[in-house]
Amino acid sequence: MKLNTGMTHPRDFSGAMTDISFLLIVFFLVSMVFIADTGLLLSLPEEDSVPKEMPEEEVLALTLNENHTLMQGEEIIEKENVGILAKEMKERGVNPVLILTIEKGNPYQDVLNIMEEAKKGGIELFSLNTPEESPIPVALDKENNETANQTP
Amino acid sequence: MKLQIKPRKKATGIVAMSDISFLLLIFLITTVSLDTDEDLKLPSFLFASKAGYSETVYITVPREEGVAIINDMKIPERQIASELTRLAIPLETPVNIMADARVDYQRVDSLLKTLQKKELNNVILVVEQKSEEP
Repeated sequence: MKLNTGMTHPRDFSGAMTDISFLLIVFFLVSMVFIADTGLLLSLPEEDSVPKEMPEEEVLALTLNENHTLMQGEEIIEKENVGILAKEMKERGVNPVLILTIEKGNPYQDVLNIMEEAKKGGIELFSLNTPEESPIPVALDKENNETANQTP
Repeated sequence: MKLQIKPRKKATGIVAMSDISFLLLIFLITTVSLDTDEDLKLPSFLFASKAGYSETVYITVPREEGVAIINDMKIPERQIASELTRLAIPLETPVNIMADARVDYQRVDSLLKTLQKKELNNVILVVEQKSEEP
């Protein structure tokens, strides 16, 4: 007489194992992030480098004040109009440089938005400046959209 | 006479499927990193470029004031300079700055100045690629 020991045949597990592994695959596919960073490549200038003097007519000097308002001197300008200002300068035959003074309390995203508008207007050279300290000059490379230092 | 031909059992198909699914699982487990930085919202930028370097240092500037994360190690923000010295990072190594879009720009600026002082001049501001406007 054959006794029933309660043991099942191992073949019965294979279906369940496939189900579990597929469930795990679905979990990983939903929760995973592939490491592929995109960014702005900056090349900071040497700390002891001599600041480059720019002709006044080539400079687009803007201030992002504590109230998150963008100013050109005493005049308020819309962030979206930075590109238009840059294009006007380009039409006058100058290669404009944006000197952006950023006062305390301005979010990082706002600074990038202004840089983006300036880039749309054809500006490749930027100088990001915080009021109490010396500016960090950076330049966006035309071909690779990378930033390179504005060498003196 | 009519012959009765029994069809072959297809149990082997399931075994192969579980083999394949386990291979896929192993691939996913070894290549995937789970998204744990739910609080970190990277800024978006239209003119971002791919930054693929094998040897990099990651500095995260979270929304939490006064702290920074260097390669998954949380430290006070004022200790960034000393931590960079301790790590003895080669000067040509690119440094990835992952700052939250909502942080004060002054924090990013002071980090850039610290890196400049340490002569780590290759910097990547990690951003999310903004899709082209219509």
